[in-house]
Formats: sequence, structure tokens, C-alpha cells
Amino acid sequence: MPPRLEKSLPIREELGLQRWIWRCERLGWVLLGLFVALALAGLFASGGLWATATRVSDDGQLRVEYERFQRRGAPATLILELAPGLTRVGLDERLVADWTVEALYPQPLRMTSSDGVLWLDLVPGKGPSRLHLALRPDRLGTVDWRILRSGQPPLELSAFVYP
Amino acid sequence: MESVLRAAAIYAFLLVLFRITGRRALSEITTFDFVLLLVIGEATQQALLGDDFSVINAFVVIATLVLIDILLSLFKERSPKVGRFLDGVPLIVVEYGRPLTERLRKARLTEEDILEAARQSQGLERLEQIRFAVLEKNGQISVIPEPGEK
Repeated sequence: MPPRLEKSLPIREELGLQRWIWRCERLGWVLLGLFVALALAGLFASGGLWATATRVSDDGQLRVEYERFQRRGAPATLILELAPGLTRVGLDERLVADWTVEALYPQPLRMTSSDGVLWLDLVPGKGPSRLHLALRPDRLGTVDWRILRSGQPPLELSAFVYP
Repeated sequence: MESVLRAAAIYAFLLVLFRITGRRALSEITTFDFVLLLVIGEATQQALLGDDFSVINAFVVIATLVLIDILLSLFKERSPKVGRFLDGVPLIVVEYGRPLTERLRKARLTEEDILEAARQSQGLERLEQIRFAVLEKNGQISVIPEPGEK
């Protein structure tokens, strides 16, 4: 093996920095993998185990399926399932302020607003009724809102909206 | 305001991403790498512009990106250590015909890559004909032949 002559090296090496760069690179790969894994798990919205949540009111009359994590400008859905006999449900007006309600199916019989609550009256039927709302979040960060029923405590919901 | 933040966020993310990808990934670019770059560009474009396709939005986004780039280069000049960290440092991978295997492995290079560079740039055939091979900052491999081998 020829002797290593420091003087004849063509470049000034910085092995310490290079090793540090490599370490950062490896750490970066791990973080990248973690990022994708979290995205698959649903932390960054648009599907996944964590992205959707279901809440049921204490008396079991109202069931809400919503997206816990949302992205601003991207469509999100909110599904309300009302037990038979329950025909009136109220949406916090923040829902209208912080989201653009793009569609509401099926159309309720009547929509009235009072005290900052948007009341939806449905046609009474024999089975449970489901309401689908197509939403587009306009605000960023944590947004809290409530689903109300007359004479019952409201169902508090919270969503996080990514930029 | 939002366009500036969007552009800054994308710039930072891409800077980190390409930094951790390592220099090898995109310098000796294959056809597939090229296609991948195009796809990355396409995905980025949507997030950069959002749903605002106005000319002024494009101006703001472009100006922000270029400004950050200028600021970063000024910053690198001020603090060479940071610059060397972001741009990388050259690394000797072959010394007097002897491959430095541990460095090659860490830089995700093989002896074949060195020989390929040696053939292309110097017309050399064997590792022993190489005095030094240096992995440059931009990911290219420079080959310095033993005297008399060229």
C-alpha cells in the first residue's frame, strides 16, 4: 500500500463534516419513512385509520361520522345518522362559517336559523335517517363545532385542518 | 400573503428532501429519475399555486422562490460551515488505486461507478490506473489518473 501523503491530496477533505452529513441523511430517511407511515395511518387527512372518527351521543340517538383531520380546500364529508323518530338536528353556525357546505343530501324539509344554530327538519320516517354533508374547510388549525338537538346536550366535535 | 408562505414552505421542504436524498440521486440522472423529477414538479405546482391561477399569484410565487434562493446563497457565504453542510463536501473515494470501501458504501457508490467514470472521463480500464477518484459536491466523480496512464 503506498504511503498516504497528506500534501498530495487533491482536495481539502472534511471527513468530520462528511460523517455528520451522512448521519443527518440517515436520520432524514428515517423521518421520511415515518412521514409516509403517518400519512398512511391517516394523520395527514384524506383517508386512513385516524382520519375519520365516529361520535355517538350519550343516548345513542345521534351518530356522527366526520373527518378528524382535513385539508383546507379539499373536500371532506360529514355524515349524521339520526335514530328513528328524531327529525330535528341543529348545526352550529360555525360549520357554515368555517366550512363551505357544498352539498347537503338529502335535502331537509325545512332549514331555519335561530341563536346561531342552523336547524334542519327532516321528514319523519320509519327507519334511521342519514344526512350527508359535503364540506370544504376554509379555516386553518383546530376548529371546534357542535351538533345540537333540542332538549339534549350538544355533541362537541373538533377537527384539525391542514394548510 | 398566502402565496409567499406557500412558496417558502415548498422551498424548505424540497431543500430538506433533496439534501437527504443525497447527491448521488439526481446528478447522474437516469431516464426514470428524470420522469420522477417531472412528477415531483407537477405535484409541487399544484400546492404552489393552489386554486389561484392569476398572473400576479405566479409573480409572487416566483419572486418569493428566487428571493429565498438569493438569501440562502448570501447566508451560505456568511457562514461557510452551513454552506458546506447544505452543499456537501468533496470526498476522496479512491486513493492510489485503492478503493476506500467504507466511504464508497456510505456514499452509496460501487467500484463499478468509479470505473464507469474513469472510462468516460479518462479512458482508464482498471482501478490501479486511478490515483484519486473524488466524489464532487454535485455528485459527479472526478478521476485523476496515475501519471503516465493516460
